Order: sequence, then structure tokens, then C-alpha cells
Amino acid sequence: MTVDLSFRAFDQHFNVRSAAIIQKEGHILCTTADDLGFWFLPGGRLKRGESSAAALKRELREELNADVDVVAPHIIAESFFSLDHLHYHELAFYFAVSCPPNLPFIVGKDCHHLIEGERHYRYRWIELSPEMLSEIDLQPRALHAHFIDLPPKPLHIMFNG
Amino acid sequence: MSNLTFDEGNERVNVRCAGIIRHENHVLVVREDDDDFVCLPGGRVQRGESSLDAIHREMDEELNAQIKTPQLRYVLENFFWRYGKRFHEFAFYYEVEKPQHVPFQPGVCITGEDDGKTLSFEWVQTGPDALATINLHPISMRTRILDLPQSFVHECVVDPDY
Repeated sequence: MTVDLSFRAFDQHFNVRSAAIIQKEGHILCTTADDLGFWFLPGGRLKRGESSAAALKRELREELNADVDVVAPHIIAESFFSLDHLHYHELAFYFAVSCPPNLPFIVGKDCHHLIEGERHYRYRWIELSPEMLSEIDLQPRALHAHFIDLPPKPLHIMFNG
Repeated sequence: MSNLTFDEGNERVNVRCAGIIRHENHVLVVREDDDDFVCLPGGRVQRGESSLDAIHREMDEELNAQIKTPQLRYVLENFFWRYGKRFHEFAFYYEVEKPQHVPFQPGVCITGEDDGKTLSFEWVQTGPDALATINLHPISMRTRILDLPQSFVHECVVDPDY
């Protein structure tokens, strides 16, 4: 049985996830669900026994119907934040991934949709500027600068919020 | 606080930090009780704790050492069997300066205690042969201590029997 690497004890969550930094012509692919109120990068949780790279490959196949090469993470982040009165401790692997050829580059409106269970996910190309990333509230905010200028060598970062 | 260890059946997910303490072509390893293998000193990261805070805490608890500026060298996603369990481990390896009070001498150089277990520390040559002879675990670290990367390296290591 495979289970997501997400573990809850009382009001404390620990989870491990992989995410994709997909850039194209000065934009970055972001996603949000329903009325979440913030955006995040495509990806998802690892499963038991699954590497971060394999997890992202699987997630992008599920989310974008795309078969992409996932090589090595550019950013490894240990973050601590609260959401809906729960405390999260998250380990996240961010990989720069080339744009899947089947994904339309349309700016200013949603370029892709996904219905998963009861959730409706929307995808959008967002201009890679500090102002736009703040305006849509791309999470985590501590990584905006690194999403805009990818670190030249792998970055390990720890932050709150 | 609780450790980031999650068991289900015989599967374990674990987050750990360890210190690579080198001195004159040797590295400090630790044996718990009379285990037939040794590890790098360190331990499990706790909920709400960063790997950096964890390495400071573990070096204090195990070696009574207040360390300065540990440098991240490896982040490994490690898949292996131990104690009859299938491990999926995230490990943060930090290079740590040798604490002054830890003597550099053959045999057990210092002892400590953790969770009721006796910890025996000793110096072993940094080459893969010596680390294989002393049975350093995880196996992936035997070839990764001699030459440390300048910044950190991320790798995914699957033991052959996983």
C-alpha cells in the first residue's frame, strides 16, 4: 500500500512534497484550487518508498498529462508555517522542469484545468516579477526571489511562514 | 516534541541529521551498545525543528559539544533495510569541526548515553575500505566521506536489497 508522506499528530502536520519550477518567456506556471486564496507550484506529496524525482514525474503526469525529465532539485526547503490553525513542518524539493510541449502558453487566463476528487485545480502562467508573485500570493513567499532567479547551484533553505 | 519517524507495518519514514567530523584522515563514528555496525553521530530531527537546529542539539546531547557553523554537505534520500524494517529516510549530513574535548586516539575515544543506550565513539580512517571493515551504515556514506563536496549535493540512494 502506498501512502502519502503526510503525518499528523494533534495539530501538527509533517509532509514531504516535490514541486516543479516551470518557466516560459518570463512566466512561471502556478496552480490553485477552488477558493483557496493563494497559489502554489504544480507538484504534490511523495509516497512511501518514492523518491522526490519520481514523485514529481508522477504528479506531472497526473496533473498535466505530461512526461517530463526530472533531474536534480534546485531548492531543498525546510519550512514551518500555519494554515487553518494547523502547524505544518514541510520538507520540499523544487525542480526546474522544462515546459511540457502539450501545455498551451496562454497568458491572462487559465491554461489548464484538472478535476481531482471534489477539487477543481486551475493552472495559469504568471509573470515572473516580485509584484505579480506577491499579488497572486504565490506560496511560499520566501522563495519568490529564487523562483525569479534560479539559484546557480542547489540551494538549501530554512524559513518560517 | 516528537521525532520525525513514521511507522506503518514494517515501513518506516524517517528524517535524520548526522555530523561528519573529520580529523587527520579519520572520521568520528559511533556504536550503540554492542551493535555490529556503526553510524555517523547524529539522530532524528524532531517535529518543528530544522535539520540545522537538530544537528546542534544532537552534537550537544551526544558529544556535549557546542558546535560552530556546521556546513551542509549531503542531502540523501535513502532507501534501505534495517532492524527488519524498510526505511525511507531523508538525511541531512553536516560537516562539523572536531570538538576540542574529543580526544584523537585509537579505540573508543569517548562514550556517551542516549535513550538508555551506551554510545561509544571512535576514529576510523576515511577511506571506503576502513569504513566497510567497521561496517558503517548507511552503506552509501562509505564512499562519500573522503572527499566532501564544496556546497551540498543531493542524491537518491537505493540499497541493492531494498
